[in-house]
Amino acid sequence: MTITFYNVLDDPRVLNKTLGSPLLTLTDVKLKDNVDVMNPVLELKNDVNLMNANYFYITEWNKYYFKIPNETNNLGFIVRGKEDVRYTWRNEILQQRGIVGRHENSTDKNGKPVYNCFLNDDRLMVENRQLVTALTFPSGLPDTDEIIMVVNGR
Amino acid sequence: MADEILRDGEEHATEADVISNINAGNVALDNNMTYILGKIIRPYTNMRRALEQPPYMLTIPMGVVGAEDSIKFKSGYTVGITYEGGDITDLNAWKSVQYWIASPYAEDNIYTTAAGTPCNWRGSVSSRWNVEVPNIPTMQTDEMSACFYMYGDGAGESTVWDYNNLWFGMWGSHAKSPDGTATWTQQYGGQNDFYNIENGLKFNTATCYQSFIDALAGNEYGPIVYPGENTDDYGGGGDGSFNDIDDIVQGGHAPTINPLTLGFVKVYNPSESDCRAIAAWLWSDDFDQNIKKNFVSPFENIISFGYMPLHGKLGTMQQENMIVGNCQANGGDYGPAIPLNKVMTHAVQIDCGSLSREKITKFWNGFLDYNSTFTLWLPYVGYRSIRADDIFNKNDKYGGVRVSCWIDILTGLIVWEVHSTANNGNKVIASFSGNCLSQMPISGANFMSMYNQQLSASVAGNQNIINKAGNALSGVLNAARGNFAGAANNFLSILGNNEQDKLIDRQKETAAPEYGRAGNMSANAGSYGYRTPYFIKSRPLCSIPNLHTHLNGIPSDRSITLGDLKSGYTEMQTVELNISKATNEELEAIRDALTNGTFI
Repeated sequence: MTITFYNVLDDPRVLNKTLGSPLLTLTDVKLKDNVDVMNPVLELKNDVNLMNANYFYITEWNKYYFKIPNETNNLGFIVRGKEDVRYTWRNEILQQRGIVGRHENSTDKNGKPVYNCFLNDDRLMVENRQLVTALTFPSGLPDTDEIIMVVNGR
Repeated sequence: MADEILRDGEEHATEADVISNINAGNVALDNNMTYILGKIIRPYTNMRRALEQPPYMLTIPMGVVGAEDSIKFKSGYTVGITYEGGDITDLNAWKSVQYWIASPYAEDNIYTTAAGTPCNWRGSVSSRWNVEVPNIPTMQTDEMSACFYMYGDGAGESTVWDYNNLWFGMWGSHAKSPDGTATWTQQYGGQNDFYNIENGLKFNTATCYQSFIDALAGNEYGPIVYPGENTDDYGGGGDGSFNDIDDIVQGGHAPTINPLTLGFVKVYNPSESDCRAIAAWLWSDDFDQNIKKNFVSPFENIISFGYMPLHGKLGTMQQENMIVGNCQANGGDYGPAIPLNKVMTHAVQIDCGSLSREKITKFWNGFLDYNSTFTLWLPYVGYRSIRADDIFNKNDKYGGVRVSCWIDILTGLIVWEVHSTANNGNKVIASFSGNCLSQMPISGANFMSMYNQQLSASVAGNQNIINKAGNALSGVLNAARGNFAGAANNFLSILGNNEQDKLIDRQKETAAPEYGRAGNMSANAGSYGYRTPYFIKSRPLCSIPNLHTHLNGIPSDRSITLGDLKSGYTEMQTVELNISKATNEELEAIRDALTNGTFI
């Protein structure tokens, strides 16, 4: 296996990450038995310096992984990975259809609306106070009264 | 109604189209910027739809436009709406028009024609037609909007949508003075239109056009989806009728039977000095007169005596010597003449006006506005809540509300009507009743039963009034047993806590006032209250961190292909994954990633 290590600064939730320059590329890396493609375990020699690496790419599988902190044993150390499905499948993801629950932008690339401010937003912290204002109508009932006497009579 | 042309955003002209037509000379722009609302309306598929169905109504919203300078109209001048296109073959098929001009700074629409106003097409130039808006009131504003609706009878309107270029503009007759001597033809000769109406209109065309385009495209919400159309990107509903016809509901009117004309009861409007004369007349020390009065019992024929907030509202009155029962104070057998003003009308309507667009606004322009509490103070009734939906426009951040009331002079019944002017409509959304008659004592007689007897006899056909009068007076007699100090305390409690407020309100709903006949007095708390309706807005405040939108996004309910979204935080409600090379575990991980949040 050929493994390329990176130091990625982007939030793990970013789809199109900026990988930057590779820190190190190792060839002929062995995987431990019972390999899980989404959670591979690499066995590396002790002389490898992976201090700054937090991300790696397995060429043969064409998949990208978050690097989980090292474990050491007598032979060297073990590197565990967790597949970054966002970046691995980034092009395919953009072709998928679905219903948007929340979005950052008001419109899409075509200028059509995406988010709707009139839907309840349960993540907005509503304060326990209110802004109370008053508006007076332009006019009202007369301030001066008139005496009214109702009688019967012809 | 406007939705008829809002739903197909793809058909609308772009700003580039507008500028292209300007450059092509399709519309004249001189130094004074005459064309203010010109807008291409392309052959509408949606217009066609509107025309295919009776009543053949065409809605042309002008949007909201702003001016570089303040817009000023002089009272009495005329503006016109110009309809300009090519190959107008049967424009006269449109039989009537209704249109309005509005300003966010005016209380109401500046001008609204009556529905059914005949289309008075003017102008001899074949492709330009005008509908006049005569005698507009004085207006000065920085923004204005307009809309007009044309109605036909199905005899040729369908030719309208055949135009390639159809323009609607708003014109002022530059030389059209209030005496109407100017002609309209000059407006096509390079002369300006609004310019000579004081400082004139110098519209920013880009703003103007773009505002109009925005209005047409309904950008705030996106086009409305109708049954049978592709709902892929806009959600939509089931197979409802999508019928949102909004009729005008003008409100109530006074009963058609005027009890004062039936001969059984009459209403006097005595002055304070008149009252003193009446008292002296009733308690005369003339033995002969008292003997004679004893046989006709004038006291028993005084049904009620009180005051109402009706100064200047009683209309034309007639003066006559007071007649109480069979006893007339005319200087004869029963004593001196007492001339009094006799009230001729039995009901009075008072319009308290509207709260303007700029006052009724959405604070957030979002869901929080609809979580707000809107309370109306209505004199003699109290506080009443109304819904945000009733007062806000659906498609912009404004709204409108108007209140008016009817007062029944016989009983003091006051009926408030709350009108919504939102969405360019006019409809009564709520009605509340109370009583504004404050009774004053004149005798020990129980005038309650007398009142009902007399009124029943006189207005037997008007059961509604009788019931309300009886209810109101029952409230008087049952509820009012306090004294003046108590009344004052009640008044002060209006300024106190909410519970007291509510209690007072309930009292005001049912209890007309009465001054006790044994010297104790109670009062209609409403008569001590503020007599101008007002509107209390209680709006929620919320904490919105700067990064809220970036890190949380705003709720959406839009179906979309993810690649069409702009870069930014996204959470999917649900997603359909068709990625053949991914394992099931990976598909689930992708689904989790998309539903839990991804920066696309």
